[in-house]
Amino acid sequence: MRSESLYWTFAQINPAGGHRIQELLQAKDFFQTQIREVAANTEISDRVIQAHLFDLATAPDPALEALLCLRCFISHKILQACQLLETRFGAQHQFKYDDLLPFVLTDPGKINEFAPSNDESQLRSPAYAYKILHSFHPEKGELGNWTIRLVKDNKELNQYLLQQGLYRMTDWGLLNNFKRPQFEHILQTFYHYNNSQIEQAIVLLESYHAIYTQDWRSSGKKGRCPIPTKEQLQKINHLIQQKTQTPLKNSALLAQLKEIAKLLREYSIESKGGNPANLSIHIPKVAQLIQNQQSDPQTDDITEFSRDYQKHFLDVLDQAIAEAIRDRLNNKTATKRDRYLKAMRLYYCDQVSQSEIATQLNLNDQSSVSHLLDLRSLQAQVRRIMLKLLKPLVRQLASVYCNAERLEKLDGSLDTLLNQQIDLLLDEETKRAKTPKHYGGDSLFAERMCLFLDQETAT
Amino acid sequence: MSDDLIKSNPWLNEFSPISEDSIVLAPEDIDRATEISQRSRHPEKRWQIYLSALSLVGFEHWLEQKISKAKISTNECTILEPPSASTSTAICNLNVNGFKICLVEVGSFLSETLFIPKATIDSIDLAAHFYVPITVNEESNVISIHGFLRQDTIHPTMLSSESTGFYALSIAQFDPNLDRLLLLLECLEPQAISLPKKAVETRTLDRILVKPAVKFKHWVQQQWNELIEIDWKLISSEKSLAGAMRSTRSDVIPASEIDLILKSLQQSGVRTTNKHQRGIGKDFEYAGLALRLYIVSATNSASSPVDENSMIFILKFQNGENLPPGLLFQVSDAEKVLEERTIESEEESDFIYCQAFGIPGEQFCITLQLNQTAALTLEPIEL
Repeated sequence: MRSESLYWTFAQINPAGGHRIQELLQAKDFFQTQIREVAANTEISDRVIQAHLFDLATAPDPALEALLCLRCFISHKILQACQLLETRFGAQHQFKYDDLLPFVLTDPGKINEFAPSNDESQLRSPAYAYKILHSFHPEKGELGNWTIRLVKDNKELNQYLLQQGLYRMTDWGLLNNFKRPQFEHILQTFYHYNNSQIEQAIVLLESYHAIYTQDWRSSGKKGRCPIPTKEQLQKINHLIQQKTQTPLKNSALLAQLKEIAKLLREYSIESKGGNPANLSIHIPKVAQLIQNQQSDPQTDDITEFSRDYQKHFLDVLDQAIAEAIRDRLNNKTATKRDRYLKAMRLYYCDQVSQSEIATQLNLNDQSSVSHLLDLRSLQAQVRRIMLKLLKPLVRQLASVYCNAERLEKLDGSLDTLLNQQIDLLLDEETKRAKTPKHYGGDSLFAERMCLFLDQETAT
Repeated sequence: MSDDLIKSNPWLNEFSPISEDSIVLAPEDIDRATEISQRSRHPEKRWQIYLSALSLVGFEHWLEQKISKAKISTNECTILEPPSASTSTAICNLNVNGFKICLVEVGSFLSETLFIPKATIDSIDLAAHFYVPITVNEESNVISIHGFLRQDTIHPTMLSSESTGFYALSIAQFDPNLDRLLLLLECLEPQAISLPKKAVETRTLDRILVKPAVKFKHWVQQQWNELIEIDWKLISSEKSLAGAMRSTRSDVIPASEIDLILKSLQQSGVRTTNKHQRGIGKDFEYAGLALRLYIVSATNSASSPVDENSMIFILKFQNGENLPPGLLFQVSDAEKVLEERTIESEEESDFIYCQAFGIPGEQFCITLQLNQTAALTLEPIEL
């Protein structure tokens, strides 16, 4: 059922957060008196109502109330689009729908603060609704879809989402990176296209690619790829005709290109499930590696060394921790540096859980803390630096650096060692000498990290 | 929740999460990639080359982020001309800490089967220690790195040639753990991974050097350091060598050889400068030939003094022998081929030259091709 109130209630940003819905009496009165007959028939679609309102709003003697009704509708659709983005991506990418609203929900919702005009300067008006209405053609489609299209095209919104770790790829951007062997392979093995279907698709894609990317490249434009123009479609069609002798309607050509893009997109999303690259985060490869080599002589090499030369070993570890952390701090602004160090201290020295750190640092959730700490990559870097430092120090390990598998094993052993309890590794005397204060960390790595963080934050 | 949501709002699928090993490119990266793509003599292939060049600049940033003191060199690094406007290409001979890396731009999204130009695996001078597939999203300027493949783990049975000129490799063959790539790059000795030694019959592709352009003003103003960094040497007469106490420097080429060549050019009517020779030279190898290239400033009219807007490019053997017949020597700008010469017969000449005129800031590319061997385009020379 259609919700009529969308045409006379207005969605606005609530300065206190979130949004609020306001009933606009002018719009309501107008809608209920002028549109009642049309609206009374529930068989009539939104499209018809919108076309009717649009006619009234753009008549020689325009009804500002009709325009207001359309603006109400647009405000709801914008709100909905932002809420959908949050539902789908918000948790993982740390944004709420009201973070997005300021880019697109800019209509003040006052009847007189907004008037249709062909004046170009109005296009830069802060009211995004104006841009939407200005480019809207009721005969071509429904206002809701049009609104969503322009919301997702909003440059600032896309920029913000990119900062949050989300990038956008339009159909045209996707088709621009046309790799014939790859596309052929997908159509054949995933969608079971037969040879002539593939051939047809390739002719279509090659013709599109030749015209569109050439224009795109020479235009020097960057960013979102626009839908192909009529002229481009004609040129593409011309190329297709040369090869197949079958003319296509422009609209059919566009539809076919979109269909192929849709298939490829679906494939790319589908195949991600089984893509080992995405599994790498979840499978503890290193742990697996360690299991395989518990009794490996290499493990003994490093364990023996760490026992025999505890001082060296700890020095190397401390040096590596310092280098890796300073490296990370170098790339951060002062505020981010403080936040990083604080989070690291909470985790390593105070042994606070990641979700608790999220609360303390005002971060959305545990996953943003894990992103901030990036422990896997940090530990990997510390081990790499250690291995580089150990190379000249430990002659018995020299040959390891000439064999990829042995080096990977040594790295794995080091990982095991660093995650073992310090008690198992150091004798009492060394422990007292090197660890003046008791640190709560449950591993060698955590102990030394905490020690470093203490010194670092003290200075 | 997600499935129904997407079904009724398919537009949400246009957004994808940036993976952990992705880089968002900066405007200067894009400029550099554009510049590299302009070096191709085939305008229709420049788009694919541009996408590949984006993968290179992005990968360099990624490495710099991960390894604080990585030694990255693009001195030998070449980009291959794709066989057609709709196929991918590769960046070869990117050197990181002594390892050779081959970057393959595989498309805007990752598929289960990756297509890698055969030459990058088969050809001795292109084969790499590590192959790294990269996806490029040009609209958002995001590149993502998807694991790596070690040369010595490639088994012939892995290489199916479904498509002409490409090997089809399953993504499962690639190690998704990039920490492991970093470990090997940072700690392993390069000789630990052996590169193929035996030449395999292969259809090679034209190559373009990706090094930054050599700037004319650097040698005119005798900015030695900039030149040394990019492998070029300054031509210097004996006199100025002694005077400037530079006789012990290995970064200069004595002018005696080029003086003779210029004299013979003058006799055949080419205008060159006699005094205060301003030029550079470098030795390099192409198709097994040990070559030397000179670039000198020239005058284009009798009345004008040293004209900074004209250059003569001279190619010869390092040992002074006659050049082989069929050797093509070509100078082009971003738009078209400006001049092209070919050695016709055995006894023709011990050098070959081309001349180019242009405005400051304009870039010229020199391309060599010996008969049917893959052509080599050197880094551009900027006026």
